[in-house]
Amino acid sequence: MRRLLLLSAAIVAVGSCTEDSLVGVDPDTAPGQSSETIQLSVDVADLPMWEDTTFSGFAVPSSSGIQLVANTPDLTSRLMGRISTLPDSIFVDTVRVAIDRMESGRFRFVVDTAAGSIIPETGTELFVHALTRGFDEREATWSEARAGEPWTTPGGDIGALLASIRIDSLQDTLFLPILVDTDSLLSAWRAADGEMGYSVSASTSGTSITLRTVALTFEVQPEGQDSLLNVIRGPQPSTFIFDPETPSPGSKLRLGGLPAARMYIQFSLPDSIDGIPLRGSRINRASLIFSSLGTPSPPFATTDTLLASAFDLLADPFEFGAKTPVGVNIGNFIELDPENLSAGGLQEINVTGLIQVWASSPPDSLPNIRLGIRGLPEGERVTFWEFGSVNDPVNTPRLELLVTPPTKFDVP
Amino acid sequence: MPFGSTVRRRVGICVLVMLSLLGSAGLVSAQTPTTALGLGASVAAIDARAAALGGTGIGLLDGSLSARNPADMGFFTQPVLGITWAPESVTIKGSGGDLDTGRSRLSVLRGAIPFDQWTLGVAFASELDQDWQVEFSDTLSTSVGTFPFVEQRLSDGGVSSVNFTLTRRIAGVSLGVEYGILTGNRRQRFVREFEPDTADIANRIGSAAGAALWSYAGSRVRLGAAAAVTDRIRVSADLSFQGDLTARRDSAGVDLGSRVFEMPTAFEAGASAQISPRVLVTGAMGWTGWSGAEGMATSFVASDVVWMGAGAEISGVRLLGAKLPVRVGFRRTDLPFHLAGLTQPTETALTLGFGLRVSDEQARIDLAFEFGSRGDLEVSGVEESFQRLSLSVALFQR
Repeated sequence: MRRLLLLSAAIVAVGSCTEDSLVGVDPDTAPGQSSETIQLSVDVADLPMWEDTTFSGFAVPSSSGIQLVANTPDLTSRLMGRISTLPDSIFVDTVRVAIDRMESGRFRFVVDTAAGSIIPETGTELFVHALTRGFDEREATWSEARAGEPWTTPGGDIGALLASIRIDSLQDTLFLPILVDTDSLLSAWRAADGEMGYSVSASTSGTSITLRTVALTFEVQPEGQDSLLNVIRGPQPSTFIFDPETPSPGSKLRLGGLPAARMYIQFSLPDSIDGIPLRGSRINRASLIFSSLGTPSPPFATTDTLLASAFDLLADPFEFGAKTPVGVNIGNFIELDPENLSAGGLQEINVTGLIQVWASSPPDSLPNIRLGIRGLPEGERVTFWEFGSVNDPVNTPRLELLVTPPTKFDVP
Repeated sequence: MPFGSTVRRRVGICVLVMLSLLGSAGLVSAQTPTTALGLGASVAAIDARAAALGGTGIGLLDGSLSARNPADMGFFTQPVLGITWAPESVTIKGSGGDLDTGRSRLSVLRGAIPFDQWTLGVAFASELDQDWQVEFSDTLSTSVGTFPFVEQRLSDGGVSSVNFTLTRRIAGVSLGVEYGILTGNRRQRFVREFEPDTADIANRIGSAAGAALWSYAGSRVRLGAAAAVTDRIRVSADLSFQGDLTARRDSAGVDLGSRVFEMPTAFEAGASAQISPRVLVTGAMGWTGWSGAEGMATSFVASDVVWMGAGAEISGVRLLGAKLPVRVGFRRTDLPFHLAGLTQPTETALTLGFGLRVSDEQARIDLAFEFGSRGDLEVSGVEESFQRLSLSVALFQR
């Protein structure tokens, strides 16, 4: 009997089918059932739960991919480093031989000429000075060498001039010959693990140079040999300090800057809004809309179009403890349009994927939606944008949804 | 930037904006195929000979493999098997113009095995056709963009029956009983594909879609009697009692559940007469009490159906030595479902066709052509014109 029923169903399926779609039916009189696509605009303060905050420090100057040397009316920045890995021997034909002498030392700077490095028309001069006070690369600021230990002179306690170069135009690579006795300087650094280190500064106002790599090159003479061998060592550690220091975001939501700031958000959605079901619905688009707080004060404002990205968070970012694990990126890169944001415009963060996962999950299986937003590349600019948080009644974020609820598909 | 500066800043309580009010459940009007009305289009499960003879198929001399009166099976003298396929082209009329589509269905597959005075039979028959598919374009206007879209809506399936018959022939009278199992399913689906924002090709939104699968189950008992009044006259009548038709939603989604429809009682009768050696005439009529059916959506009304048809078959024509009976007929039937507040539509058709007996008359091929229309746009809200071809192939039909 069951086979007969199946055969019958198969006959119906094969033998009774509409061959051609009725194309061009009037939408207002089309037969059948579907669901409206509805736009919902929700003030996040009205959601069952919404938390937002700015977390900073994901990239700091000592871990940044850039080193900034600047002398502008708005920003002064100096690079600091220690050459702490100077060798006392070297391999010569597979045999390690003690170094007798080091000479011809020079600093090599690789300049990022495509990332906004500028020098005044009159040219500028870069100086490398010895530091007379050691620094902690994780804590050094314009005013302090390390936490609780201020510089005698803000911006670093500098001593003897070690190297300098005058440049009239931007070049990819700069070599700064050491002006003092190389062997004496490097031997002293080798004996003290690079302490106190050095500082790089620019002399002429209007200079802002972004360095990608800094290295020290020199030649060594192995004991008992006449030949000289080239050696390159990078600073370990290195950082840069700048003035003015990055202000605290307070209750604002910040994106970018140094230390790099991210916006972390956690919220929950009701199963329905005003009778429109969200759980089980098709989410055509979901966006968080943030209101820009306008142009930050110099030097933290930018006219460049930057990028950002949103990413999934795998744990509660507001729970004190270990770092929140980060999941996958959500959506495409987000373009931060300076013209729009400087005018206090709105910034959309597309969270469609996140909301779709929530909407298709069983109730209570995914109670909270969590995401973070970071600038790209992270920690390579002192500039940032700020947005209103839920605590800002005038610039509260909004959740915009395009939702197609499930179709009932009743019969007949 | 999709949510640009033109978006109004709204602060405070949740704001809800309803957009693009598309057709919702049950909204049908002009440009609606009759298969989208109520439980669908009622299908006459008849073979091509009956189709050519005005859609009769009951009380036909020389037999019919139509799924009508089971008692008619009692006149077969040897095992018989036949199948009928009936595609049709349809033009649906609407206020915006005519739309062409096509349908095809396997109307009936029937076999019977006589032994002594008994006959056992089985038939697979189409009952209700719920196939249709529409596609239209519209635009969704939101504060984040204007998105043209194309939407497809589809209903695929219907109700068929598996029928087991037993007849007993007593002299010139055949009594039959049939137990039918109503079965089938219906797949409903819609897909809405959005195009990019008309002002910004990078501004896109995701598609929308939904689907559901319903399965049908029910039963029917049909009692029939047929009599050979003389060798040249046969009369036949049957009465059907149907139980509830239960539709169960099989697919995962919201509102999983079932719906029960009370199915109608039906009566039909017909007769045929060989009025001359070359001319056979036949007529049939029937009534189905659909008005008692319950469970329909409020947007539809079910009404009683009266159908009637008549035709004539002219013998004597031969093609390449084979007999080629030519048939002509006319039929009229009410459609069981219509839109609330509008008039019940009717279907009329002029029918004609021919048959060809081959292989020493061990096999028959019958063709029928029907030209007709359904409904009236002005009074019933639906109107279709159609041309249907029915093709039957039968073995050992005597």
